[in-house]
Amino acid sequence: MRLEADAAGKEFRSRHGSGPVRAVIDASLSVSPGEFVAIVGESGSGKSTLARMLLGLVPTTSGSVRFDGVDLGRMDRSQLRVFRRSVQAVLQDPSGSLNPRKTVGAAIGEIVRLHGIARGREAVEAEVARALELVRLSPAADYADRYPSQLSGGQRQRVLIARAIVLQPQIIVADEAVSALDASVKAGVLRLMADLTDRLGVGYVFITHDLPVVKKVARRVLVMKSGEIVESGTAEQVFDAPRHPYTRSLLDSELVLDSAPPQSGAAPVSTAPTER
Amino acid sequence: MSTATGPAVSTDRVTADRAERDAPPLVSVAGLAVALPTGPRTEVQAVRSVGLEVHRGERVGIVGESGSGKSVTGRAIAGLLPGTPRVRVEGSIRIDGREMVGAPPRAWDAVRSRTVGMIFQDPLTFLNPVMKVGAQVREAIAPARRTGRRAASDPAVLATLEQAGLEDAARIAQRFPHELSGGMRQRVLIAIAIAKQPDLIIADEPTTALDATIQRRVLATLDETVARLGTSLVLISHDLAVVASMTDRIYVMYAGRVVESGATRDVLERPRHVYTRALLRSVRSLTDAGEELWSITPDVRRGIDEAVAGGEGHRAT
Repeated sequence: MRLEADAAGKEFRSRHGSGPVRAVIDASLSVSPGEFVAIVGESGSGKSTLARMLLGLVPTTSGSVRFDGVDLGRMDRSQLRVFRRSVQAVLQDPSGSLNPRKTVGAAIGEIVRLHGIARGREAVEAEVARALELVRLSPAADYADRYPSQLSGGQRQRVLIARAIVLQPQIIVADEAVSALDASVKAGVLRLMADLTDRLGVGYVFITHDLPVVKKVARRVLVMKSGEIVESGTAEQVFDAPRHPYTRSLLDSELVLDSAPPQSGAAPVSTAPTER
Repeated sequence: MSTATGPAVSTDRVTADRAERDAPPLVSVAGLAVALPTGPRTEVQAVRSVGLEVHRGERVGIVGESGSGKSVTGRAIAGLLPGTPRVRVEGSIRIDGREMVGAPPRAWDAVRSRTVGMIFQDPLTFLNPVMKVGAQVREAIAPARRTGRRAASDPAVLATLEQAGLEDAARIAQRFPHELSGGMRQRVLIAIAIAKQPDLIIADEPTTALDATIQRRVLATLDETVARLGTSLVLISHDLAVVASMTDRIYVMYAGRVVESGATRDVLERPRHVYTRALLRSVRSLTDAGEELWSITPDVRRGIDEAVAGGEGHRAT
């Protein structure tokens, strides 16, 4: 099972009549279950358009996106059904992707029914509970009855991941899925994602502008600039020996907290408010 | 637990801080508590117990996770909390020696027009979409300092835009906000904030929405601008690396309280409070090679909550 883009391109017609905008130009990549492929780049680099092309949400205007060798644009109904179930999306901004008037349980249960994963109230609820437990929204019964507004940002992001994994996808396309989260929550969601690879063999296309995170979790990295993939390789190659000047400028711009100093003469832990 | 005095840190920076502290602070907040309405009959205690000081020319960071109360604290100091009686503010906020909690709206207007400027994360919600950038900067400039008839030809407007790192100011003054890139819009906010020549700029996640390369440049602009004008800076962010690169002192907030404060390097290199340690561990786990990804689990959080509740009233000096 493999999701791949082969010289895929997307042109948007310009409203001002000033020639088309080439959002993605000849992008080629492939991802299989168990793999972690990151696409990095800044706003306007075309990385989100490429994500939507991989999900079949934006049709390609040149080249192709294929799933198991079949062009997304030429799939018949049953092929499309398998694709929609096997490749899931987790997008940024959970508040925009969740219906505020549906409980978490209802939102996930709806998808379970739609894809015929389970029938009957109890069976559906069991599937929902399993997905919520997998993303550590536990005990699941507590969270299933909540509305999105009753959850924190990190919890909402985990609901979106639960909604994606309830269909037992092979591949998840995540577009800035953790960028807006606090460090601790971000670390938790990333660990969960790695955990799903270990337990269920999920593969990821992980789109972000957050380079330190990519360095930590990705095996393969593609760098996009102005619609083109300008560099690709293993995480070590791209981070330790970047070849393209754009990659180097991205790496140079990252602000990273210095590593912890050695613990000699460490101050005692305090639980009281501490001023010095 | 006694944590009365920190280890002696013999850097010039700290010595200078000590000297500055003898002068009366520009901002002095004590026992601040803010409750915000969340519904017709419900409210949330966004800030429970915050004390902090900002001296003239000083750069202070406030860090903490979403919901820690850091933004509400910043808005309280800028007098930008919603003006309904259901917003309850207790404690003391002294700005330039004057007590502002309970002060009349006119007193706050004076603070906002002369003493404190604010920069927000999202310029598009702050800027007027149907007004040219130059005119918006001009509005912030005191009438006496305005010279030209039109914003785009007013030297005061152009100089302000240039100070905020916007070259080609004459052209940018003619633009509408949506015609500018994210980094340029954020610089326009800096321009509007410094146009009043305030004593203090409060920047709340000023670069969080920007790409790293643009963030670098906007932070450099902010850095140069406050240095040149001698403005004090309060930088609020969940991004410890940003705060570490910009500030002298830091306050760490958790659940509406300041749990630790001190010289930025000191606090980040030798954190003492259990929460600060947990926060730093999770941040470093995202970037340090060889560190396993680490998040604050519900168990750890319970421990922090207990520690914070137990530590109440034991404030060290």
